[in-house]
Amino acid sequence: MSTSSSDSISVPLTDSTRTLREEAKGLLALLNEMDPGEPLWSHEDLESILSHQMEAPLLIDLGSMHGVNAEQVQQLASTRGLVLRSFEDLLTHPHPPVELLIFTKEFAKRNLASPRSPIPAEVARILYFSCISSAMLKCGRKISQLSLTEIGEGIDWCLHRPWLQSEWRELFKNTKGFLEERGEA
Amino acid sequence: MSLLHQSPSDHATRWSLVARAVSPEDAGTRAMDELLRIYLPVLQGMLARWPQLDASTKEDLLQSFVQKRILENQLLAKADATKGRFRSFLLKAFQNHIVDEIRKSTGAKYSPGAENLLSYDELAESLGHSAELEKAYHVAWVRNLVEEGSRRLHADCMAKGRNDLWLVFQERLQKPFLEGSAAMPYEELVQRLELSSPSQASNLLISSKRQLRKILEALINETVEDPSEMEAEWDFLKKCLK
Repeated sequence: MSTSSSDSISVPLTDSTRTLREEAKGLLALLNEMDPGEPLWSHEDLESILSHQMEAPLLIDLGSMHGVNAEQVQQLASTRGLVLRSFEDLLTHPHPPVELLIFTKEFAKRNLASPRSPIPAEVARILYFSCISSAMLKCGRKISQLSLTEIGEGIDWCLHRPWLQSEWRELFKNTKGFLEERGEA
Repeated sequence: MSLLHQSPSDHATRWSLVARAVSPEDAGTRAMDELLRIYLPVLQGMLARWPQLDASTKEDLLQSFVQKRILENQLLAKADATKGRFRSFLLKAFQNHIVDEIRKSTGAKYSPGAENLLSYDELAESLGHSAELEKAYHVAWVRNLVEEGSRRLHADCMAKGRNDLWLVFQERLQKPFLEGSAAMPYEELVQRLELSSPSQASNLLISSKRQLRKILEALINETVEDPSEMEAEWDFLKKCLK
Protein backbone atom coordinates (compact mmCIF):
# COMPACT_ATOMS: atom_id res chain seq x y z
CA MET A 1 0.00 0.00 0.00
CA SER A 2 1.45 3.30 -0.99
CA THR A 3 0.43 6.20 1.21
CA SER A 4 1.77 9.52 2.27
CA SER A 5 1.15 9.24 5.98
CA SER A 6 4.12 11.44 6.72
CA ASP A 7 2.87 14.22 4.48
CA SER A 8 2.58 17.58 6.10
CA ILE A 9 -0.54 17.98 8.16
CA SER A 10 -0.01 21.67 8.58
CA VAL A 11 -2.75 23.97 7.36
CA PRO A 12 -1.54 27.56 7.53
CA LEU A 13 -3.89 29.68 9.61
CA THR A 14 -4.12 32.28 6.90
CA ASP A 15 -3.43 31.28 3.37
CA SER A 16 -2.01 34.42 1.84
CA THR A 17 -2.24 32.97 -1.65
CA ARG A 18 -6.04 32.92 -1.48
CA THR A 19 -8.43 35.80 -1.00
CA LEU A 20 -10.56 35.94 2.10
CA ARG A 21 -13.56 35.08 -0.02
CA GLU A 22 -11.84 32.01 -1.48
CA GLU A 23 -10.69 30.86 1.92
CA ALA A 24 -14.16 31.29 3.44
CA LYS A 25 -15.72 29.49 0.48
CA GLY A 26 -13.36 26.53 0.88
CA LEU A 27 -14.02 26.24 4.60
CA LEU A 28 -17.76 26.50 4.09
CA ALA A 29 -17.66 23.81 1.44
CA LEU A 30 -15.71 21.57 3.81
CA LEU A 31 -18.24 22.07 6.62
CA ASN A 32 -21.08 21.45 4.17
CA GLU A 33 -19.43 18.18 3.15
CA MET A 34 -19.78 17.01 6.72
CA ASP A 35 -23.39 18.03 7.23
CA PRO A 36 -25.32 14.91 8.18
CA GLY A 37 -28.10 15.58 5.70
CA GLU A 38 -25.83 15.91 2.68
CA PRO A 39 -25.80 13.22 -0.03
CA LEU A 40 -22.96 10.82 0.48
CA TRP A 41 -21.97 10.66 -3.18
CA SER A 42 -20.99 13.46 -5.50
CA HIS A 43 -21.84 13.31 -9.20
CA GLU A 44 -18.19 12.62 -9.86
CA ASP A 45 -18.31 9.73 -7.38
CA LEU A 46 -21.35 8.24 -9.02
CA GLU A 47 -19.97 8.55 -12.53
CA SER A 48 -16.75 6.93 -11.44
CA ILE A 49 -18.47 4.13 -9.54
CA LEU A 50 -20.81 3.40 -12.45
CA SER A 51 -17.83 3.15 -14.82
CA HIS A 52 -16.08 0.80 -12.47
CA GLN A 53 -19.16 -1.34 -11.96
CA MET A 54 -19.69 -1.65 -15.70
CA GLU A 55 -16.08 -2.75 -16.11
CA ALA A 56 -16.30 -5.28 -13.27
CA PRO A 57 -16.06 -9.01 -14.15
CA LEU A 58 -19.45 -10.66 -14.52
CA LEU A 59 -18.19 -13.92 -13.15
CA ILE A 60 -17.14 -12.49 -9.81
CA ASP A 61 -20.22 -10.39 -9.07
CA LEU A 62 -22.86 -12.70 -10.48
CA GLY A 63 -21.08 -15.89 -9.48
CA SER A 64 -21.03 -14.82 -5.84
CA MET A 65 -24.78 -14.22 -5.78
CA HIS A 66 -26.83 -16.58 -3.66
CA GLY A 67 -28.69 -19.04 -5.85
CA VAL A 68 -26.47 -18.51 -8.89
CA ASN A 69 -23.85 -20.95 -10.02
CA ALA A 70 -20.55 -19.44 -11.19
CA GLU A 71 -20.18 -22.18 -13.79
CA GLN A 72 -23.58 -21.32 -15.18
CA VAL A 73 -22.53 -17.68 -15.52
CA GLN A 74 -19.27 -18.73 -17.17
CA GLN A 75 -21.13 -20.94 -19.61
CA LEU A 76 -23.67 -18.26 -20.56
CA ALA A 77 -20.94 -15.65 -20.96
CA SER A 78 -18.98 -17.80 -23.38
CA THR A 79 -21.76 -19.57 -25.21
CA ARG A 80 -22.07 -19.27 -29.01
CA GLY A 81 -18.58 -17.78 -29.21
CA LEU A 82 -19.43 -14.87 -26.91
CA VAL A 83 -16.70 -13.24 -24.87
CA LEU A 84 -18.60 -11.40 -22.17
CA ARG A 85 -16.23 -10.55 -19.40
CA SER A 86 -17.79 -7.44 -17.91
CA PHE A 87 -21.22 -5.90 -17.37
CA GLU A 88 -20.35 -3.44 -20.10
CA ASP A 89 -19.60 -6.31 -22.52
CA LEU A 90 -22.99 -7.79 -21.70
CA LEU A 91 -25.03 -4.60 -21.89
CA THR A 92 -23.43 -3.29 -25.09
CA HIS A 93 -23.54 -6.62 -26.92
CA PRO A 94 -26.07 -6.63 -29.80
CA HIS A 95 -27.35 -10.09 -28.85
CA PRO A 96 -26.82 -10.67 -25.14
CA PRO A 97 -28.03 -13.89 -23.48
CA VAL A 98 -31.28 -12.93 -21.80
CA GLU A 99 -30.51 -15.25 -18.85
CA LEU A 100 -27.43 -13.18 -18.03
CA LEU A 101 -29.47 -9.99 -18.23
CA ILE A 102 -31.92 -11.53 -15.75
CA PHE A 103 -29.09 -12.50 -13.39
CA THR A 104 -27.63 -9.00 -13.65
CA LYS A 105 -31.01 -7.39 -13.04
CA GLU A 106 -31.34 -9.57 -9.92
CA PHE A 107 -27.84 -8.57 -8.80
CA ALA A 108 -28.77 -4.88 -9.18
CA LYS A 109 -32.06 -5.41 -7.36
CA ARG A 110 -30.37 -7.10 -4.40
CA ASN A 111 -27.88 -4.26 -4.17
CA LEU A 112 -30.71 -1.75 -4.31
CA ALA A 113 -32.43 -3.44 -1.41
CA SER A 114 -29.38 -3.87 0.81
CA PRO A 115 -28.35 -0.98 3.07
CA ARG A 116 -24.92 -2.59 3.35
CA SER A 117 -24.35 -2.75 -0.38
CA PRO A 118 -21.06 -1.16 -1.48
CA ILE A 119 -22.81 -0.03 -4.66
CA PRO A 120 -24.71 3.26 -4.31
CA ALA A 121 -28.44 2.90 -4.95
CA GLU A 122 -28.25 5.31 -7.89
CA VAL A 123 -25.68 3.12 -9.64
CA ALA A 124 -27.59 -0.06 -8.87
CA ARG A 125 -30.74 1.53 -10.32
CA ILE A 126 -28.92 2.42 -13.56
CA LEU A 127 -27.68 -1.16 -13.82
CA TYR A 128 -31.20 -2.45 -13.14
CA PHE A 129 -32.84 -0.40 -15.87
CA SER A 130 -29.95 -1.07 -18.28
CA CYS A 131 -30.77 -4.78 -18.06
CA ILE A 132 -34.47 -4.19 -18.61
CA SER A 133 -33.68 -1.90 -21.57
CA SER A 134 -31.23 -4.30 -23.20
CA ALA A 135 -33.61 -7.23 -22.85
CA MET A 136 -36.45 -5.21 -24.32
CA LEU A 137 -34.51 -3.72 -27.23
CA LYS A 138 -32.17 -6.57 -28.11
CA CYS A 139 -33.94 -9.74 -27.02
CA GLY A 140 -37.54 -8.61 -27.44
CA ARG A 141 -38.21 -9.69 -23.84
CA LYS A 142 -39.71 -7.92 -20.88
CA ILE A 143 -37.75 -9.27 -17.92
CA SER A 144 -39.39 -7.15 -15.23
CA GLN A 145 -42.76 -7.32 -13.57
CA LEU A 146 -42.93 -3.53 -13.71
CA SER A 147 -45.55 -2.14 -16.07
CA LEU A 148 -44.32 -0.39 -19.23
CA THR A 149 -45.40 2.91 -17.70
CA GLU A 150 -43.33 2.20 -14.60
CA ILE A 151 -40.38 1.19 -16.77
CA GLY A 152 -40.82 4.46 -18.67
CA GLU A 153 -40.72 6.40 -15.41
CA GLY A 154 -37.59 4.53 -14.37
CA ILE A 155 -35.93 5.29 -17.72
CA ASP A 156 -36.81 8.98 -17.29
CA TRP A 157 -35.20 8.91 -13.87
CA CYS A 158 -32.04 7.42 -15.40
CA LEU A 159 -31.96 10.02 -18.17
CA HIS A 160 -32.15 12.80 -15.60
CA ARG A 161 -28.89 11.72 -13.91
CA PRO A 162 -26.38 14.37 -15.04
CA TRP A 163 -23.46 12.03 -14.35
CA LEU A 164 -24.75 9.30 -16.68
CA GLN A 165 -22.21 8.44 -19.38
CA SER A 166 -23.17 8.78 -23.04
CA GLU A 167 -23.34 5.06 -23.93
CA TRP A 168 -25.93 4.42 -21.21
CA ARG A 169 -27.77 7.61 -22.02
CA GLU A 170 -28.02 6.37 -25.60
CA LEU A 171 -29.40 3.01 -24.45
CA PHE A 172 -32.08 4.72 -22.33
CA LYS A 173 -33.00 7.14 -25.11
CA ASN A 174 -33.52 4.20 -27.43
CA THR A 175 -35.68 2.49 -24.81
CA LYS A 176 -37.69 5.66 -24.35
CA GLY A 177 -38.21 5.83 -28.12
CA PHE A 178 -39.25 2.18 -28.13
CA LEU A 179 -41.81 2.83 -25.37
CA GLU A 180 -43.06 6.01 -27.04
CA GLU A 181 -43.78 4.07 -30.21
CA ARG A 182 -46.03 1.89 -28.07
CA GLY A 183 -47.62 4.90 -26.39
CA GLU A 184 -46.11 4.03 -23.03
CA ALA A 185 -43.83 6.99 -22.38
CA MET B 1 2.06 24.97 17.38
CA SER B 2 -1.22 23.35 18.20
CA LEU B 3 -3.87 25.98 18.34
CA LEU B 4 -6.68 24.30 20.20
CA HIS B 5 -4.51 22.14 22.29
CA GLN B 6 -6.82 20.72 24.88
CA SER B 7 -6.92 16.97 24.90
CA PRO B 8 -10.18 15.36 23.83
CA SER B 9 -10.70 14.17 27.40
CA ASP B 10 -10.56 17.69 28.77
CA HIS B 11 -14.15 18.86 28.81
CA ALA B 12 -13.36 22.38 29.97
CA THR B 13 -15.23 25.02 28.06
CA ARG B 14 -13.66 28.27 26.94
CA TRP B 15 -15.44 30.11 29.72
CA SER B 16 -14.14 27.78 32.41
CA LEU B 17 -10.67 28.30 30.97
CA VAL B 18 -11.19 32.06 31.18
CA ALA B 19 -12.32 31.71 34.78
CA ARG B 20 -9.17 29.79 35.62
CA ALA B 21 -6.97 32.24 33.74
CA VAL B 22 -7.87 35.14 36.06
CA SER B 23 -6.74 33.19 39.10
CA PRO B 24 -3.36 34.23 40.56
CA GLU B 25 -2.40 30.59 41.10
CA ASP B 26 -0.13 28.59 38.83
CA ALA B 27 -3.20 27.06 37.28
CA GLY B 28 -4.17 30.59 36.26
CA THR B 29 -0.88 31.08 34.44
CA ARG B 30 -1.30 27.80 32.62
CA ALA B 31 -4.86 28.64 31.65
CA MET B 32 -3.73 32.07 30.44
CA ASP B 33 -1.01 30.48 28.31
CA GLU B 34 -3.58 28.11 26.90
CA LEU B 35 -5.97 30.90 26.01
CA LEU B 36 -3.26 32.93 24.34
CA ARG B 37 -2.14 29.89 22.39
CA ILE B 38 -5.68 29.40 21.16
CA TYR B 39 -6.72 32.96 20.40
CA LEU B 40 -3.60 34.89 19.38
CA PRO B 41 -3.27 33.10 16.04
CA VAL B 42 -6.88 34.00 15.32
CA LEU B 43 -6.17 37.67 15.96
CA GLN B 44 -3.07 37.31 13.80
CA GLY B 45 -5.19 35.75 11.09
CA MET B 46 -7.48 38.77 11.16
CA LEU B 47 -4.60 41.25 11.04
CA ALA B 48 -3.05 39.35 8.16
CA ARG B 49 -6.08 40.38 6.10
CA TRP B 50 -5.41 44.10 6.74
CA PRO B 51 -2.93 44.98 4.01
CA GLN B 52 -2.85 48.70 4.86
CA LEU B 53 -1.05 47.96 8.13
CA ASP B 54 2.61 47.00 7.93
CA ALA B 55 3.95 43.90 9.63
CA SER B 56 5.61 45.73 12.54
CA THR B 57 2.42 47.69 13.31
CA LYS B 58 0.46 44.45 13.38
CA GLU B 59 3.01 42.88 15.68
CA ASP B 60 2.95 45.95 17.97
CA LEU B 61 -0.86 45.91 18.10
CA LEU B 62 -0.89 42.29 19.11
CA GLN B 63 1.88 42.56 21.68
CA SER B 64 0.42 45.68 23.27
CA PHE B 65 -3.01 44.05 23.40
CA VAL B 66 -1.62 41.12 25.35
CA GLN B 67 0.56 43.23 27.60
CA LYS B 68 -1.71 46.17 28.33
CA ARG B 69 -5.21 44.83 27.99
CA ILE B 70 -4.97 41.23 28.94
CA LEU B 71 -2.15 41.13 31.47
CA GLU B 72 -2.09 44.63 33.00
CA ASN B 73 -5.75 45.64 32.74
CA GLN B 74 -7.01 42.14 33.47
CA LEU B 75 -9.35 42.16 30.53
CA LEU B 76 -10.43 38.60 31.18
CA ALA B 77 -11.82 39.49 34.59
CA LYS B 78 -14.33 41.73 32.79
CA ALA B 79 -15.51 38.97 30.49
CA ASP B 80 -19.07 37.85 31.22
CA ALA B 81 -20.20 34.40 30.17
CA THR B 82 -23.84 35.51 30.17
CA LYS B 83 -23.15 37.97 27.35
CA GLY B 84 -22.29 35.50 24.65
CA ARG B 85 -19.25 33.95 23.07
CA PHE B 86 -15.82 34.58 24.53
CA ARG B 87 -14.33 35.07 21.09
CA SER B 88 -16.87 37.84 20.35
CA PHE B 89 -15.86 39.55 23.58
CA LEU B 90 -12.21 39.23 22.62
CA LEU B 91 -12.82 40.60 19.13
CA LYS B 92 -14.59 43.69 20.47
CA ALA B 93 -11.82 44.29 22.99
CA PHE B 94 -9.19 43.95 20.28
CA GLN B 95 -11.04 46.31 17.96
CA ASN B 96 -11.21 48.91 20.74
CA HIS B 97 -7.52 48.43 21.41
CA ILE B 98 -6.65 48.97 17.75
CA VAL B 99 -8.60 52.23 17.69
CA ASP B 100 -6.93 53.47 20.87
CA GLU B 101 -3.45 52.57 19.69
CA ILE B 102 -3.86 54.13 16.27
CA ARG B 103 -5.34 57.28 17.78
CA LYS B 104 -2.30 57.57 19.97
CA SER B 105 0.12 57.04 17.16
CA THR B 106 -1.61 59.51 14.82
CA GLY B 107 -1.93 62.32 17.37
CA ALA B 108 -4.72 64.91 17.69
CA LYS B 109 -6.78 63.79 14.75
CA TYR B 110 -7.93 60.71 16.61
CA SER B 111 -7.39 61.89 20.19
CA PRO B 112 -10.18 61.31 22.69
CA GLY B 113 -12.59 64.22 22.85
CA ALA B 114 -11.87 65.38 19.32
CA GLU B 115 -14.98 66.08 17.24
CA ASN B 116 -13.89 63.78 14.49
CA LEU B 117 -13.40 60.83 16.80
CA LEU B 118 -13.61 57.70 14.70
CA SER B 119 -15.20 54.40 15.53
CA TYR B 120 -13.43 51.14 14.79
CA ASP B 121 -15.46 50.66 11.64
CA GLU B 122 -14.71 54.17 10.44
CA LEU B 123 -11.07 53.71 11.27
CA ALA B 124 -10.95 50.43 9.40
CA GLU B 125 -12.68 52.14 6.49
CA SER B 126 -10.35 55.13 6.62
CA LEU B 127 -7.39 52.80 6.43
CA GLY B 128 -8.74 51.47 3.18
CA HIS B 129 -10.32 48.35 4.46
CA SER B 130 -13.92 47.42 5.09
CA ALA B 131 -15.71 45.52 7.82
CA GLU B 132 -14.45 42.36 6.15
CA LEU B 133 -11.90 42.30 8.96
CA GLU B 134 -14.54 40.87 11.23
CA LYS B 135 -15.19 38.19 8.68
CA ALA B 136 -11.44 37.56 8.54
CA TYR B 137 -11.53 36.96 12.29
CA HIS B 138 -14.30 34.38 11.96
CA VAL B 139 -12.60 32.73 8.99
CA ALA B 140 -9.37 32.48 10.99
CA TRP B 141 -11.34 30.95 13.85
CA VAL B 142 -12.92 28.27 11.66
CA ARG B 143 -9.62 27.57 9.98
CA ASN B 144 -8.09 27.20 13.43
CA LEU B 145 -10.81 24.74 14.35
CA VAL B 146 -10.39 22.73 11.15
CA GLU B 147 -6.61 22.70 11.53
CA GLU B 148 -6.87 21.22 14.99
CA GLY B 149 -9.54 18.81 13.77
CA SER B 150 -7.18 17.69 11.01
CA ARG B 151 -4.37 17.16 13.51
CA ARG B 152 -6.56 15.00 15.68
CA LEU B 153 -7.83 13.05 12.68
CA HIS B 154 -4.26 12.48 11.61
CA ALA B 155 -3.30 11.29 15.10
CA ASP B 156 -6.31 8.93 15.21
CA CYS B 157 -5.59 7.53 11.76
CA MET B 158 -1.93 6.91 12.56
CA ALA B 159 -2.75 5.34 15.92
CA LYS B 160 -5.15 2.93 14.23
CA GLY B 161 -2.92 2.26 11.24
CA ARG B 162 -5.49 3.88 8.94
CA ASN B 163 -3.14 5.59 6.50
CA ASP B 164 -5.74 4.97 3.82
CA LEU B 165 -8.33 7.08 5.63
CA TRP B 166 -5.85 9.90 6.10
CA LEU B 167 -4.71 9.86 2.48
CA VAL B 168 -8.28 9.99 1.20
CA PHE B 169 -9.05 12.86 3.58
CA GLN B 170 -5.98 14.77 2.44
CA GLU B 171 -6.54 14.26 -1.25
CA ARG B 172 -10.31 14.66 -1.42
CA LEU B 173 -11.03 17.21 1.33
CA GLN B 174 -8.00 18.99 2.72
CA LYS B 175 -6.24 19.86 -0.53
CA PRO B 176 -9.25 20.89 -2.60
CA PHE B 177 -11.14 22.77 0.11
CA LEU B 178 -8.36 24.22 2.25
CA GLU B 179 -5.60 24.68 -0.26
CA GLY B 180 -7.57 25.20 -3.45
CA SER B 181 -5.74 22.46 -5.33
CA ALA B 182 -7.32 19.76 -7.46
CA ALA B 183 -8.77 16.67 -5.80
CA MET B 184 -6.99 13.44 -6.66
CA PRO B 185 -9.15 11.41 -9.08
CA TYR B 186 -10.70 8.30 -7.59
CA GLU B 187 -8.94 6.08 -10.09
CA GLU B 188 -5.59 7.35 -8.81
CA LEU B 189 -6.64 6.78 -5.22
CA VAL B 190 -7.67 3.25 -6.12
CA GLN B 191 -4.19 2.66 -7.53
CA ARG B 192 -2.27 4.27 -4.68
CA LEU B 193 -4.23 2.47 -2.00
CA GLU B 194 -4.52 -0.76 -3.98
CA LEU B 195 -8.28 -0.74 -3.62
CA SER B 196 -10.61 -2.82 -5.73
CA SER B 197 -12.96 -0.02 -6.76
CA PRO B 198 -13.66 3.72 -6.62
CA SER B 199 -16.63 2.92 -4.38
CA GLN B 200 -14.15 1.67 -1.79
CA ALA B 201 -12.30 4.97 -2.02
CA SER B 202 -15.59 6.79 -1.71
CA ASN B 203 -16.48 4.75 1.37
CA LEU B 204 -13.16 5.75 2.92
CA LEU B 205 -13.99 9.36 2.20
CA ILE B 206 -17.34 9.02 3.94
CA SER B 207 -15.63 7.47 6.96
CA SER B 208 -13.10 10.28 7.13
CA LYS B 209 -15.88 12.88 6.87
CA ARG B 210 -17.78 11.26 9.70
CA GLN B 211 -14.67 11.07 11.84
CA LEU B 212 -13.72 14.69 11.23
CA ARG B 213 -17.28 15.76 11.93
CA LYS B 214 -17.14 14.02 15.32
CA ILE B 215 -13.82 15.66 16.14
CA LEU B 216 -15.08 19.10 15.13
CA GLU B 217 -18.22 18.61 17.20
CA ALA B 218 -16.04 17.80 20.21
CA LEU B 219 -13.95 20.91 19.59
CA ILE B 220 -17.04 23.08 19.19
CA ASN B 221 -18.44 21.61 22.39
CA GLU B 222 -15.44 23.06 24.17
CA THR B 223 -16.52 26.52 23.06
CA VAL B 224 -20.16 26.34 24.15
CA GLU B 225 -21.62 26.16 27.62
CA ASP B 226 -23.97 23.30 26.87
CA PRO B 227 -23.60 20.50 24.29
CA SER B 228 -27.14 21.24 23.13
CA GLU B 229 -25.77 24.48 21.66
CA MET B 230 -23.37 22.62 19.39
CA GLU B 231 -25.67 22.39 16.35
CA ALA B 232 -26.54 26.07 16.59
CA GLU B 233 -22.86 26.95 16.84
CA TRP B 234 -22.09 24.78 13.81
CA ASP B 235 -24.72 26.69 11.85
CA PHE B 236 -23.41 30.00 13.19
CA LEU B 237 -19.88 29.20 11.99
CA LYS B 238 -21.23 28.39 8.55
CA LYS B 239 -23.16 31.64 8.51
CA CYS B 240 -19.98 33.54 9.35
CA LEU B 241 -18.32 32.07 6.28
CA LYS B 242 -21.03 33.16 3.85
